[in-house]
Amino acid sequence: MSFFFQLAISGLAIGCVYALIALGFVIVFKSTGVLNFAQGDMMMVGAFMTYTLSSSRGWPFGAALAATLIGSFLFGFVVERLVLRRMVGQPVFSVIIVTIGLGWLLRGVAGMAFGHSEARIVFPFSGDSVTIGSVTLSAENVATIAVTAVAFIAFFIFFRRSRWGVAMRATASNQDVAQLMGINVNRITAIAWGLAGVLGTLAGVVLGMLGFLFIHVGDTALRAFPAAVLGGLDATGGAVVGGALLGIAETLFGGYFGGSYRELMAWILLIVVLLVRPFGLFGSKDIERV
Amino acid sequence: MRTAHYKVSYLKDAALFDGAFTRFWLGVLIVGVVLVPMMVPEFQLHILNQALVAAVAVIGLNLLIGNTGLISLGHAAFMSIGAYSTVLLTTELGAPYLVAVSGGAAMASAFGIVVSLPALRLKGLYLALVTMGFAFVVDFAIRRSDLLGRDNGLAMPMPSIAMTPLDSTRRWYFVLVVVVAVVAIGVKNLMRRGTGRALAAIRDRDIAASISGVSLTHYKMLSFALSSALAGLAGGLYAGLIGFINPAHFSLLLSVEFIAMIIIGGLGTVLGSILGALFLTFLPEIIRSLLEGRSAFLDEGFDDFRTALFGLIIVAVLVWEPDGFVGRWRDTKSYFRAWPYRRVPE
Repeated sequence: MSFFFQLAISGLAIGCVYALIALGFVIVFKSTGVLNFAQGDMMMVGAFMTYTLSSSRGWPFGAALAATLIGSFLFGFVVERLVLRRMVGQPVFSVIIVTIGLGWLLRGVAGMAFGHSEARIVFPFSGDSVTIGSVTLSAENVATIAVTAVAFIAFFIFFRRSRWGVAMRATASNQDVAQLMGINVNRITAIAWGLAGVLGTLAGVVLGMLGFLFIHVGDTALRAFPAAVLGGLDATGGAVVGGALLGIAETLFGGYFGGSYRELMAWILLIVVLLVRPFGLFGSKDIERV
Repeated sequence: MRTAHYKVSYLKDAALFDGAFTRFWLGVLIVGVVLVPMMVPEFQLHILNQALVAAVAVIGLNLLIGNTGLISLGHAAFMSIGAYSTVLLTTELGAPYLVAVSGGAAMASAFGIVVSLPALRLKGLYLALVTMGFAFVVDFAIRRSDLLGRDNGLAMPMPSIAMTPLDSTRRWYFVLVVVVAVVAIGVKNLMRRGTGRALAAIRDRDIAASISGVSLTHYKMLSFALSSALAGLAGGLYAGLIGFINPAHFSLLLSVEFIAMIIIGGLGTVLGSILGALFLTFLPEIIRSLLEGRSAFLDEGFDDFRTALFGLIIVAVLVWEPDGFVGRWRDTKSYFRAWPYRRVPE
């Protein structure tokens, strides 16, 4: 039984990373209707920035993280101004491909700038652990779960209560009407991308602490798509539930049946869930007019 | 200047190549295509061959994305299914190359029909994700099958057609040109018929199309079957041309590259597919030859540079030239036709 709990907890930590990435997808999708394939690479760049600032340049961890978070928020504004503003009115399909292009651009530049070696981000509590009963929690796992919980609650309140959050929901439901009501849709897009960048950096730093940071880690982030879809692409809570479910399922599956099949878990779950509920577990069905 | 474009008979309207003007340029194109192997060096001809193989797959994918409006991020998987089937049919059963390639295409098509089943319920982004999931499952299965050579892949014996071994780049070139021509004309013709209009109706408004009597089930499955068959055909050709396949050849990157080719060439057009395939296959080679030896930094990180450049080109084309090469070509043509006016009067 303690093996089960041990697995479940470390699965929960992995699931929290998925949830953070998925939350990034959901924020952009909710406010602009675009599936952001660059999320994984934004995550990678954020994590490498923090790593370079804190480990190579000798900044304190907190300062490096704060600087990267501000940088990744501003990055959202740059992307909106240079690329997305010109894509307004184009088919959704083209916008998705633009995000893939952005991802490649980020990955190529990052490859030239940071090299191809693996990295592990060291944070102040690295190596500590907490033992509850028979289950041992490493400081990394605790930090991951805590960061996800805080981020999730913050975003939940943000969407429900803040002016920007409400404006974002309005933009998502109907861009034209939102614009007529005096909402600056361009600014909303920029903020959504900025927040996605912030979430990406958080997810990347957490992955870096767990020791999974390399230039192609964006591909692993693709597995957060199933997490987002499991929950429903337009549900904030769904992203977290989907991420946690996926992480636990993967780790349990890997723990009991051998490691190599766990990569497949996410995609099989995705296909099965979409066949039964085409809009995800918590997603709302689109009502279409002809 | 070509002023009026009257078609006085139905035969003329249905003709693929109408008018002396079109026929003249078609003649120039054919002469050019025949002369190419005499003019370009061996190595570039080999790259051209790869571009032609990509063109077959891209024409197929464009049928699905550009004409039917269904997004697939898993076409590399169909291509790998075609390639592996071709190799297995050749090595295990000793089938002649033409039979093996057809078998590969049929196999890919069968998988395409299976994948099209969720496509009947899913749309847009969700379909893109399911096809991507399918590609990961196929990749996973290949990497764990002893029959399929796991991570190491399989070797393809030298293929021959009608007792002629395809042992030179030049012979391959002519085979591939013929295949591309047949596929291009076939697909173009199909798109001018009722089938093409039904697919366009599904792309533009699927519910309205189904109310107007277009069977969504039938046409979505047809589109998937054709598209994946062409991808499988490209896979079989690729296996023969390169002589060796492994799972790394058919990654998600390849699927995305195909989509990039479609967008850069032009959505929903055969010409666009071919132009896009040629452009994106040659571009890295041209840049490599321009930069070779100039900068040690770029030589070392060429793959990263290539990735970044591809990304930049995709973004730039979509931002500034969303209709691709074909759109630019159309604008140029109408500029000259309308001169001295700005636009052709409607």
